[in-house]
Amino acid sequence: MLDFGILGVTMRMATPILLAGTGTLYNDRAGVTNITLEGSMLLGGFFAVACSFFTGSWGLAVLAGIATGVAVSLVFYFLTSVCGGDELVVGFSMNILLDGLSIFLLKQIFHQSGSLVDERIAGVPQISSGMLGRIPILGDLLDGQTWIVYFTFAFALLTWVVLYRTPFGLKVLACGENPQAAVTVGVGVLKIRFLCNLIGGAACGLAGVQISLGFLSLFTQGMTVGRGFIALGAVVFSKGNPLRLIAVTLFFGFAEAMSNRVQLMQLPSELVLMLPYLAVVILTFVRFDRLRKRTQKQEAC
Amino acid sequence: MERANKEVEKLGREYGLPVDPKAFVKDLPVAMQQRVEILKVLYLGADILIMDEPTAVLTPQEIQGLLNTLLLLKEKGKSIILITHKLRELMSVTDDVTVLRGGVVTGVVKTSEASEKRIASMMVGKEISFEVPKDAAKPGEEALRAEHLYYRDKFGVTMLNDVSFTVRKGEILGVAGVQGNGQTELIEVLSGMATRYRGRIVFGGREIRQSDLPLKRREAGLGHIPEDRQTMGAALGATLLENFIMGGLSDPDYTSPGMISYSKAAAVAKRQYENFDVKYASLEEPAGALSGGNLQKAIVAREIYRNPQILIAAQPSRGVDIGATMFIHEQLIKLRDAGKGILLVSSELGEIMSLSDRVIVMYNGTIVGEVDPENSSEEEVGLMMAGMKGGRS
Amino acid sequence: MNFEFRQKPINLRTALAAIFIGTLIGFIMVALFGYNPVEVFATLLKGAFGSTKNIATSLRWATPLMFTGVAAALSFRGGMFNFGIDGQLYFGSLAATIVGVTLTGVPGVILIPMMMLTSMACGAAWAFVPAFVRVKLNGSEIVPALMMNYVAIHLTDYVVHYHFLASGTNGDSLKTERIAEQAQFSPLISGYQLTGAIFIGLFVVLAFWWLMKKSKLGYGISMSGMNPTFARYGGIQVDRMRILVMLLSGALAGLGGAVEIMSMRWRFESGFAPSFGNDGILTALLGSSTPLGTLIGAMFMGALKAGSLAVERYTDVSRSLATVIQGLIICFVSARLISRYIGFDKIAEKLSAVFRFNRKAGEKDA
Repeated sequence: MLDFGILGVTMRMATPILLAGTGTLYNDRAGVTNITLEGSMLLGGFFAVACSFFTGSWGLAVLAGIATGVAVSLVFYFLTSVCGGDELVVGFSMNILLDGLSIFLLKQIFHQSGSLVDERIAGVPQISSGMLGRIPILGDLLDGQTWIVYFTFAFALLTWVVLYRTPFGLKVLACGENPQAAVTVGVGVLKIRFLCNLIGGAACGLAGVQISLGFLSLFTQGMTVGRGFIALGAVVFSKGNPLRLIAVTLFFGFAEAMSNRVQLMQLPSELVLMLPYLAVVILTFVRFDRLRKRTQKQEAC
Repeated sequence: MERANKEVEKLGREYGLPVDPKAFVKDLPVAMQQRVEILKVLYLGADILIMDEPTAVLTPQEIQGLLNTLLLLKEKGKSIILITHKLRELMSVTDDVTVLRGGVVTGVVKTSEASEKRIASMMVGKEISFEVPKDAAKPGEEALRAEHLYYRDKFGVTMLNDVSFTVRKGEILGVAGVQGNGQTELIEVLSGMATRYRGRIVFGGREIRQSDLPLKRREAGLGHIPEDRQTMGAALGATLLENFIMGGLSDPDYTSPGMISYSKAAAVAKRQYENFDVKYASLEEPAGALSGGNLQKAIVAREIYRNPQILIAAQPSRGVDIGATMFIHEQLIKLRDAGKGILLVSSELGEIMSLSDRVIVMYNGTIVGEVDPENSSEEEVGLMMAGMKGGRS
Repeated sequence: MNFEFRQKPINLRTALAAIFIGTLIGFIMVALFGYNPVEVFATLLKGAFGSTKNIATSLRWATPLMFTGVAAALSFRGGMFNFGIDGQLYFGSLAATIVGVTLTGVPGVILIPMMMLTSMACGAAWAFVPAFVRVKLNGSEIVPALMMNYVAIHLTDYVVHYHFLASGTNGDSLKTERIAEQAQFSPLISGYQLTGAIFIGLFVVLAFWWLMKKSKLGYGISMSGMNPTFARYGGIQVDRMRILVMLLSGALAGLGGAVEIMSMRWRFESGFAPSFGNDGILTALLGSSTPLGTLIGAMFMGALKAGSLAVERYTDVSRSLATVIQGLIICFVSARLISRYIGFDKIAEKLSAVFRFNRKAGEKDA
């Protein structure tokens, strides 16, 4: 059951969560509470499949997915920052709206309900090279993944550099820590938050592409199954640190990979499917309990 | 990043404010955090520095260090506006002093030509009469006793440092002092809003435990007019009636086990608000619609209606018009004459001096002195508020 | 991320404007795909109100939302965001079903309350996890609640599949046996979809009203949500209120599922309540978390659901059109300032100007 192949599955499972999570990290650090990950990933995945269906090109599909994510984030930005909507209410409703929209479009464009499977859909190719495949352990990890997987981890590492080593990143951090102080030093808080919104949206769209076109090439309604929310949880656990985010999402990815593997054994699939979500809950208890103990110590005289 | 670090280090050395650019601000001691703040504005090329109560959280040695820095900055050609209420600092580094009170400039002097006494008098001065006609107090037994209170806030700064005092029934004890010297924390500790303190609190003979929630303390006879009426004194989004009911969920006049009769409560609230001259359109309107003075009167009306044995009145006239202020003062005197104990905390010295029967002065988390308002001048108390020892005990 | 939430009261004008814009966008969407929007919306309205039977169907779909809507509204009033209503519903209703399937000998007058209490207890228990995270661990209750939804769905699937599967099914569709006959509600009028469940739902709304308007507990909940500092200052134990509100919310969610099963399904089936939780939250948001608002919101959502089912049956348009419109409406309800950009204010002005003009002309003639 446990061979090094599971490392590859872990990376693949972690990718959408890490990707959406890293994009949302920008929002989180800048002080924006954008919970539309789930809906954004879903609709991005849908439009990627639709585009691939009509054009046969996975490259255009990727662009379609990213564009969808950006569009979603623009709508969110408009409704909240411009029109004064509450971020949680708008975010929550948008998730429902986007899910419904994907089902609606699935029916109206493709006359399908449930899934869209068609050989015309071109998936994102998996990169498999004989040489890479033969390297022990690392080969299992890296071989056969789509370029989106490599990009995601690079993006997460790059985010660390951006946040902590570039002026833009510092401005983002300032906006989130203390927007009033940031304004006094001349940081354009609204502009920074707008840009972070876009980055988050693009990342979520791409994550959706990975889900729908990255392994199998199809779209199923609700195919994100809560991964957007798991990513949200990961962002909370990461405390804003991209490196910690990588660790957390690998943990969740591993839980999902295990649930895949274990299904092949005699264990009931339903119980095993619970694993990723239970992982989040367990981590919540572990992490917050430590946080609580630390605050208690601080307060005592 | 390396270049930025080096520049900051260089700047630090130049201005005598060495810092480690790689350290996390939250891990630095407060004095260092302040250095970072100063360096930040210098790095951005400031020629004018405005420093707002910079020594509030510094030890005497650190204060000296900061003052030396200010002198150095002055030599380097920077202009500095130092906002402070501490006379010693004022006298040691400034060239000119402008005194502000209640939004009005009460005096401009050259430091070399002024004395501490003169500046103190400009700080507290004689203002529109806060005089309230009152008989002599007839203090009875103890209403509130605080013994050796210690409290550190969430940043680790000691805000209460061995505070002890007593308030008796039929007496108003005034706590004078500039905002930020521990008064807020004292009230939090007494009212149960802050629970991690050391020391002993007794309400009229009843021991109050550290873990006793505000509910228990209210049951033990505590009333509280909070200094921040918008965050703590009221729910601005709730109706006036709902605001009135707060704290009175066991009142037999309009509650029964588990239930509230809002119609009965409305009758009570209406009467009480009338007695307290609260001007409002309807009990159903949100509390946020009231003016500052009216809201304060509404809060006073509520707290006094609960018939507390000991009432904490914090900044009762802050942001309140003269008419409402006078009314509230009358009510406090009335309460005192009815045999209740009142702890009056205010940064308005005139209010303290005219209302209190005894006055203690807080500075830097300790009580630096006690005076009899009949026999002391505001200047004396002002000096104590500003950290100068003196005044008669 | 800031997960603090305090609902601002919605006035009628904003709600109507939001419904107007949401429906308008729905119109446009339908037209874009070549359908006649007027036809589609006529079908929608007919499906919701066109006949007494259809009205009964609208009420039937409104009923579960009375439970989940109140569940959501209650949690909002207490300052908590119960995202986990779906999970609490599934967990609670499965527990009730197990009772209804095993205790077949117990008379209905005892069995039905037993099932209801079971669902409430289990729903409350499921809600305890996010409540604990918020109150004792100082973390946000949102993500744990969401996760518990998925856990509940899979857990209930497992229990049905391996322990309570109806004989004759092969594990493809996960459903239990029917509950005991004495626990099965029958329609009020045969052939119609409406049962006595709606009275239970109305009772829940009434109980919610009574709680908030008449009881000390309701006062404590309301103040804890409005201004926790003020509530604490006044002696209310805010932490206790928060946990209580989540438990009650979970209980109502479980009850809603149980009532749905007893009245309409007569068995637990995987995925039988696909959006009752989310719709309940939208209902509460639309109704400003007040008892009356939630009731009206539930009716509105129920009508929308009935209408959308008719639309899917008689036209080619997917029923998820209603979901989209619902989501849009709540977005716009929150984005109050949108009237500046969409110009609804101007439209309203022009409309009223037209009315005034007409009236004036009439007066002149008279």
